[in-house]
Parts: sequence; structure tokens; C-alpha cells
Amino acid sequence: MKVCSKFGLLLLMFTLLLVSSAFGAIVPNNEAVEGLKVENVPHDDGGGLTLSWKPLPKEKRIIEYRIYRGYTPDSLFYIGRIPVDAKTGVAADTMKYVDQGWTFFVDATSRAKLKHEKGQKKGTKGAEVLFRTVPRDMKVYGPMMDHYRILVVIPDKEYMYHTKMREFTDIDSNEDGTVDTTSTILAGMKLEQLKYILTKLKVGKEYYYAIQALNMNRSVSPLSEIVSGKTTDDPPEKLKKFCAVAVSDKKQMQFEWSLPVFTDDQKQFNIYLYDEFDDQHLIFTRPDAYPYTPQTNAIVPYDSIAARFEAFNPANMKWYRFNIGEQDRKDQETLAKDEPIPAEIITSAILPKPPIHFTVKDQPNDKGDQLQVFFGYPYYGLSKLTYNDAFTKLTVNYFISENSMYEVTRLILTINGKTKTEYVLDNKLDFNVDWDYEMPMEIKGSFVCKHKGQEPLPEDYAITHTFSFDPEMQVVIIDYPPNEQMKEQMDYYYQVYKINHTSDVYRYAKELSFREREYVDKISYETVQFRGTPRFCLDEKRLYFSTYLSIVNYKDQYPFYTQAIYLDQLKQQDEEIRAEIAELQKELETTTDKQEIEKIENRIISYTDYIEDKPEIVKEANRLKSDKERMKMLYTAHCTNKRSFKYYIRKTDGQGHFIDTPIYTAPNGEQYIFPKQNWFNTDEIITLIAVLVFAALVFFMIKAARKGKRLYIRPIAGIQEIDNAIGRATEMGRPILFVPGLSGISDVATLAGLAILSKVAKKAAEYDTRILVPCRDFIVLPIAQEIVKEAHYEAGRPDTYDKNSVFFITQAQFAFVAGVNGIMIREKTATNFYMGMFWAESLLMTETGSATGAIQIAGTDAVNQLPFFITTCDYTLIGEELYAASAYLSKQPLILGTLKAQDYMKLLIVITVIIGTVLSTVHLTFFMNWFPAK
Amino acid sequence: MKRQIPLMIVLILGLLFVAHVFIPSRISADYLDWFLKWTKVIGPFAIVLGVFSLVYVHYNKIKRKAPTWGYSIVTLVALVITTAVGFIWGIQEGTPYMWIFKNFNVPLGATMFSLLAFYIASAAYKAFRARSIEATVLLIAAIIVMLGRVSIGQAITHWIPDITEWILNVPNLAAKRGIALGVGLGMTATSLKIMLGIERSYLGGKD
Repeated sequence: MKVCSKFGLLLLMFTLLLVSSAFGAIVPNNEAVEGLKVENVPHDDGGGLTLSWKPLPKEKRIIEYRIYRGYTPDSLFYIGRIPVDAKTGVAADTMKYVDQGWTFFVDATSRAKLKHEKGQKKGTKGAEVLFRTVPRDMKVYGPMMDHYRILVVIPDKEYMYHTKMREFTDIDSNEDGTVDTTSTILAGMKLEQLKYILTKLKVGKEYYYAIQALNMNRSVSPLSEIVSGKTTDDPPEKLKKFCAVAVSDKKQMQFEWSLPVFTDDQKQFNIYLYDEFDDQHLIFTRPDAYPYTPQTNAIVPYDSIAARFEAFNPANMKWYRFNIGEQDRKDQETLAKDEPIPAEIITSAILPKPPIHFTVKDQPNDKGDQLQVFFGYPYYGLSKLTYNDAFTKLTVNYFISENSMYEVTRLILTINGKTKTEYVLDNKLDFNVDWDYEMPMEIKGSFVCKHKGQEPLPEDYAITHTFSFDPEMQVVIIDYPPNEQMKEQMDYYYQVYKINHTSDVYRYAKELSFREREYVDKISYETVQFRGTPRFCLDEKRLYFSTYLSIVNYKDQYPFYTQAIYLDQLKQQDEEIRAEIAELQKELETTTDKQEIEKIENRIISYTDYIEDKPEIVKEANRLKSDKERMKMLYTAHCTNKRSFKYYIRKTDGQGHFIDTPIYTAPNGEQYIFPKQNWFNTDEIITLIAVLVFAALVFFMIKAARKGKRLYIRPIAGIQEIDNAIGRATEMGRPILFVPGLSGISDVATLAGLAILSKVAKKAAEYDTRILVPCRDFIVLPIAQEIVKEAHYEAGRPDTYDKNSVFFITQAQFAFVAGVNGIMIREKTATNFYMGMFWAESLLMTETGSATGAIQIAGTDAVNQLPFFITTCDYTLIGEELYAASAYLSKQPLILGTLKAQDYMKLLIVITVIIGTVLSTVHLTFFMNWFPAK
Repeated sequence: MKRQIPLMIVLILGLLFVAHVFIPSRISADYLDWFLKWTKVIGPFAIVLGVFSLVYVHYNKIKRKAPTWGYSIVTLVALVITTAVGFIWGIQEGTPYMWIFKNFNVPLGATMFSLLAFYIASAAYKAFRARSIEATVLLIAAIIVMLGRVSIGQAITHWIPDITEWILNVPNLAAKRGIALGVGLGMTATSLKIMLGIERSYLGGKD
């Protein structure tokens, strides 16, 4: 009774504390957010609004501000939140939230039904107009789609093979009373088939917003005023940089400019020439590469300028001025410069030299999603130079940039005539100083590369850096000022551009510094299709999308050659076009006007071309009878072409002085390079050999053990003492504690620990000694229970098995320790086993065990915990001994065989290490290089 | 059959995972992703077992009025309250669940963790008692490493940080690598034993 009242009191206190603190008095959240303003985001594509409001005072203990949006003021949906630190509050006068870009709208995991926002007081505005997120109910989200721009992300397989074809007929009445009928075939899908739907604000539309603040008690403030804002598609922003260069001997203009911040509705860049009379002439147009980053420079030959501006005369170049305009999809344009700029007139001698050996290759040993782009000779740079205190030694920390054509095997560094060869490239080399350390010095580096049949490095190829010791800062300054060679390199950087086989515009892939020589381009697998605003059908609960799939850039005439995904649709289309051709031919017979005849003939040619002139793959696919087979072929072509890229590199200084490599052409003449998947990782050959050797050793040792060969195994004290430790617990009449580590079942150490538990539990059952097994992992728990149960059965003592002896404590690391320590103290365990994976808790447990006077045996492969176990336990199984323990205890030839094989394998590894050490010492690094670095 | 089927599953999946290391193709990568997704499914089912075990053990303790059974009441009440408030008010910031987590779980965990400082001191005392040549070497090495890690070591002589670096990078690292080598082989051997059905204790103990 006493105990009960004591714990009852404890519980009461706990509950009171909980209630009082959790719901205790803080300043009531009864003030609405004020000063909410909704403004258009300047220079964007008309799809952004900025919300700003005055934050509530710190005393209100606000933890988040919730934002609601709607296209009418009477229904606002939750769209996001801004978390706030309740203790510090918001220091700024205003808070901002930008509703811009594609944001999540709905998917199959969204809530099922439309629900009002919770926590609103009855009769308040919030209770009437606020809703939680958009539900997956088409009746709700379907009509909403008309008020937003919609982008649907569809898994490829669903789009290709699991859609429902449906024809929609639209009837439009004309002003003259006639009626136009348009029929469209679309692909229908249910929401569950889609990945998700994204949304963006529409241009020129009014949206309504409100804010609500949530405090620490999760009580919501009254709703702010509902404020509306209208999106506007403003003209694009001014480009910050624009350079014009005329290369007289190459008869071309070179332009370079910076990118704008907002590129979403960018249509093209227009370059203008202003003649002596200040007349503007459009001389170049660069279409945008949306959604990718476009090129930021252009080469415009004089001929091309002359084709657009007949009076163009290169001799008048000094009179011409240039400007660039950024044009959006609404044809609004902003010029970069208020005053057009003159061109810098140069000769090609000033231009940089193009990077050599530009190559694009499939990346080896990958899953087929990477291409290697590389160029140039190797480069070495200095990351740090350090003199010792006596200035007698200089430590050079270097790095090497190489590529798979020129793989560096040795670096030869020379300072003050003293040469050192780095055989093992460990990024560090020491020099004995025999120069005046205060003098500026040079360090020259040359390379020895692996010979792979490539053109050898030029004999005089070397990179020289300068360095000097700064006595004030007490550091070595590198390349300041740079020598001529470094200056030339540092002024330029590389831009990698690429284009896939379903596009007509190059896109920016990567910028590489002057130090880099290789770029691995990630070419992700095609997994989704993007489709714009769908139609929806409430009866069928389906969304309907465009049925066209891009196939290839066909002869540059059709950059986005598409095909309908349904064969029936294709046939219907072809029939319609043939009927149109037949009608045109009839019309041709009756027409007499020459111009009209030419017009009709052109239309006939264009229609005929469309039907007849198709890519081979499309013709082949369309001959197939099954929709599925046809789609398989077209989809393969779509993926191959979307993932095949042409590349070129531009070396530039960002000021219009740039030069391009030619587009890379593979030895087989192909320009589009496709990443191929590999079926064997050649980097793992050594691992495979080691695994095979080990497996063979295990096999032979098991065979030898089975034949009765006596295998000597070195005695391990910790394992030999297990029996004694169990015996001690039996003699003392106290339980045994066995902790099978804190890791999960996927950890091999846990499996090894459980194997030992099996033997210990059996022995304990034989001696009729209680064993306690606390578990941290709930998957380990049933396995441990089963092991202990089986052990009791095997020992012939099923009656002594107590299910309560193997139990779950908690997953929390230190709470588990507290639990285990409590058991040790309360149960006064005589023997403690810790077998498995342990972290910081190891010492907490073993020290407690040590204090209780228990004999302790630990085994772990956690190197960092071993010192703690060794210090506090009586016996410790170090690393591999943990794995060997079950074999020792079982004494089975099969298991002992694997143990012996392990020893032989270790011997082999030690021999390999010795050979590698000896060979590396005499500068023969080939053996070392056979093994992977990681 | 009760043992054959699990052993077959282990062998086949084991071989597939070994193959995954050597086959970088898309199929292999997708297989691993797919498999990892499935392993996540097991967790929620297994947690029921854990909670059941916890409730069963403590319920029995209370029922039997085992020594210190009052703590079992606290455990079960805490379990029920935490679960209930989590279900009712959610687990976000500002909920009673989060309050319990921040005000009970975190400080109690931190308390346990902070005990480590005292335990380390006690363990260090035990380890550094110079009772043998090995313990003396350990003591000297520890003193040098400790001095080398603080500025006073540099102030005494620049050799101390240098020797510290050498101790850590040469003998210490060599020992660590030796252990890691053994652990690697032990893991491989254990995995091989499990795959080949030589080691079956994880299936319930019967060899």
C-alpha cells in the first residue's frame, strides 16, 4: 500500500507538471497578424506574388506563421508555413513569403476529403474560409485547376502503357453564327497513376491570401485581413553584363553576356547593331533553352550580319554600337545597356588557344548514367606550402587534376635546381631548404603519365608556380603575383555545352575552372513525363493529357519530332491529312491564279512530307500491330535520343574573348554520345579475386576438417572464460545479463552476438541459471527470444524458459543504458556479456557492471569502444574474435574450417602488404596501383 | 521445410547482394532500391512486437508485485500518456508530445550522457595505473597525446605535438587497421557461414 501511494504521488506530480507546463499560461494568442500586403514579384514570368506582414511580438511565443491562398476570398487553402523560434521571436519589422514557381498541388497521398482548418473558433472568419491542403477529391481540385497553371509529373511506365484513350469534341460558336467543331484525342489517367501535380500562379489573375499565427500551445491567432494581389508579367530585368568583340581576321563578332535571375518565361536574346545613323538592326537571335540554362555567348559571322543588315561594312566597325535585349514570351523586351556599346576590335592572336584532346566517353563501371568530358594535359596546383620553424624544410602540399587520357603516375618537382620525384602521389612532398626563404622562388612540375596509346605529353610540358614567404603574415604566398604561364591560365575558364537529340538549342552543362581537366556529366534515366494543364472528367475520375511523345530532332527540320501514343489516333490523323490532301488536289484543279496554285502545292508537299517523311524508327514502330509493342519501340527511341548528347567546350575570359572546340566526334563518326550501362565493375576485380580465394580456402578447410584433420586454433582467453563466468553466476545464484549490442539485425556484429547468445543460453539452461537479454532493436527481440527458447529446449529444460527474460527496453540509446544499468543494480547480475555493436553507451554499462562486482566479458568490432571494454571488463573479444567466438564454442569442424580459412586469408593479406611495401619502397608502384584506393 | 525455406531465401538474397557489388548496371541498382524499400516495411510490424514485449514484461511485474514493481507502473503510464498525446495532438512543435520529449527525454538522455565524463575519468585511472611495462607504455603515450592536444604541449616543446601526431598516425593507426582487417575478414566469414547455412543460430539456435 505504501509503495502504491508513493508511486501514485509520483504519477500525480508527473501529470500535474505535464498539464501545467504544456498548457500553462502564456500571453493569449488573440491578436491577428496585421499589415499584410501582397505585391507582384518584379521581372518574373507573372507567376509570383510577395506577401509581407508585421510579425507578432515575442511575448506571443509564436512558433509558426501559416499562409493560406485562394482564388476567391471565401475559400483559402493552406499552402505553407514559416517556422519561428518562439524564444527569440522575429527581430525584423516585416516578414516575407514569396509565392512563386512550381509548388506542390495534389497527389494520391493528399487527404481524402475537403476539411476546414482545425483550431478555429466557431463563428470566426477562419472557421468559415480556411481549409487544410487541397484534397485528392476531383470535385475540389478539378475546378481549381482552371485558376492556376498546372504541371503534371507522370511516371513513364504509366503514361506509356496504362492510359485510356478518349476523344473530346469542342464546339465553338463564331460571331457569324457558324459553329467550329474540334476533336482532340487525349490520354486519361487516374490520380493514383500520377506522381504529383504542381501548380503556379496564372498571369494577370487575382489571388487572395491570409495569415494565421500559431503559438507554443498550438492555439491559433484570429485570421488576418484577407488581402488580394494580382500577378503581372513585367518586362525582363536588365542583363548586368554585355561585351562585344570583333575578331577582324576571323570575320566574326563575339558576344558575351550575363544570365538574368528569372529565366522562366524567357523567349530569346536579341543582339542589335546600331549603325552610324543610330538605326537599330537585329543581327542575332538566341532562343532560350528553358528549362535548362542557355548559352551566355555567341559567335556571329560578318556574313550572317550582312544577311540581316545589307549595309554592314566591317571597315565601319568602329562606328557601330551594340546592345542585347532579353525578350520574354509576351514579347516584352529589356535592353541591357542604356547606351549601346562599341565593339572591341581584335585579331584572333589575342584569343585563347582551344583546349586540346577534347574527348567525350562513356563513364566505365556505372549504371549507364554518366559521360566523361575531358580535355587538356594534366595540371598540378599548390594547396599549401609550409616552412618548418627553422626554415630548413619546406612541405609542399599539392593536388593533381588529370583525366582518363593522361593519368599521372609520377610528379617531378624542381625548386632551386633540386629535383624530387613523387612516386606515390600522396599530395605531400618535403624539400630541404638550401635557398634564402625570404626570396621569391619558383617550383616547376612535370609529369609522367600512364601510356595508353595516346599521344605522349610534349617533352617541355611543365607547370611553374611562384611562391614567396610573407614575414608579416608568416605564411607562404602562392602565385602572387602569378608568372606569365599562370596568368594566362588563370584568366580563363571553361564552359561545357551540350545538346540532346530531341532539341535544337545547346544548353549550359558546367563551368570548369582553369585547374580542372575532367567533368563527369550525370545523364539521369528518363523516369517521368511532364504534361501541362489536363482536362478532367468527374464521372470517370480521370485526368486527360496530351498524347504526344517527343522522339527525335529529325533532320533539324522538326527539332521536336513527336508521335501520338495511340496507333488508332495516328491512323485517324493520317486519314484526316490524306483527306485534306485530296481536297487540296481538287481545289488545285479548279484554281487558276498562279500564286494561289503555288500556295496550295506547297501545302500539299508539306502534308505529304508529314505523312511520308518520317524517321526510320517511327516508320518501323508504326508498322507494328500492337500498341504496346509500338510504344515500347518509340519509348526506347525517346529515351535513347533524350539521353544522347553532343558536346563542345568554350574557353573564355567572360569578356567576349573565347574560343570553341569543334563538336566532339567519336572515332566511329558519331557525334551524339549515349551513356551505356556496364555489367561488370572492373574496379572490383581485386575484390572478386580476394572473395574467390577466400571462398576456396573456406571450402578446402571445411573439407579438411570433415576428413578429421585436427585444426589448431589459437586459444582466446575471453572465450575460454565464458564457461567459468556462467558457472560463477550459477554458484552465486544470480542471473546472467547478455546485451546483444545496440545495432540492428542487419549488422554482422549483432548476428555474431546472437550466435554467442545461443551457446551462452544453452549453457545457462543446462546449469539452470536465469539469463536476462535486454534488446534495443525490436527486430532483434523476437530472434533473441527464439534463440533462448531453442537453447532451453536443446538443454532439455523447456520448463525453465521464461519469455520475460528476453525483453525490449527502448530504442533511445541512453534510456536503454539507464534500463540496463538499473537491471544490473536491481538484479545484482553475476555475469555480464556485451556482444555486438556498441557506441558511447559501452563505458556507462561496463562501469556500472564493474561497480556491481559482476564478471564482465565484452566483444565488439567497434574500434573506438574497445579501449573502454578493455579497461572495465575482465575479458574482451577484440574485433574478429567476436566473430570467431561461436566457432570456438561450437567446436564443429564446419565452423572451425571457416576460422582456419580466415587465418590463412590474413596470412595472404600480410604477405601482400609486405610485397606492396617493399616494391613501393623501391619506387615500383604498379603492384600498389592494382588495388583500389578505397 | 521450416528451416530449408529460410536458408534458401538467405542464400539467394545473399548471392544477389554479392552480385550487386560487382554489377553496376541499372537493374542491379534498381534491385537494391526496391529491396531497401521493402526492408522499411518490416519496421512498423516489428515495433508492435517491441511494444507488446514491454507491456507484457511490466504488466507481469505489476501482477506478481515483483520487487520495484512501482517503476513498471511509471513505465506503462509514461508509455500510455506519450502515445495518447501523440495520437490526439500530433507530434509537431508545440504539442504536449513534443513538450514531453523536450522536457523529459532530452534532459534524461543528456544526464546519462554527461555521466560519461566521470566514467571516462574512472576508466582512465584504471587504465593508466603503471602496474606492468605495457601499462607504463600506455601511461606515457597517453600523457604525450594529451599534452600534444593542448597548447601547453606546444609551449613545452614542439616535439610533443609531433610525437602525438606520430603516435596517432603510426602505431595507433597500424593497430586500428590491423583490427579493421580482422573485422573485415570476420564479417566476410560470418556472412559466408550464414549464406551457406553453416551458421544458423539466427534462425532460432538449433544448429
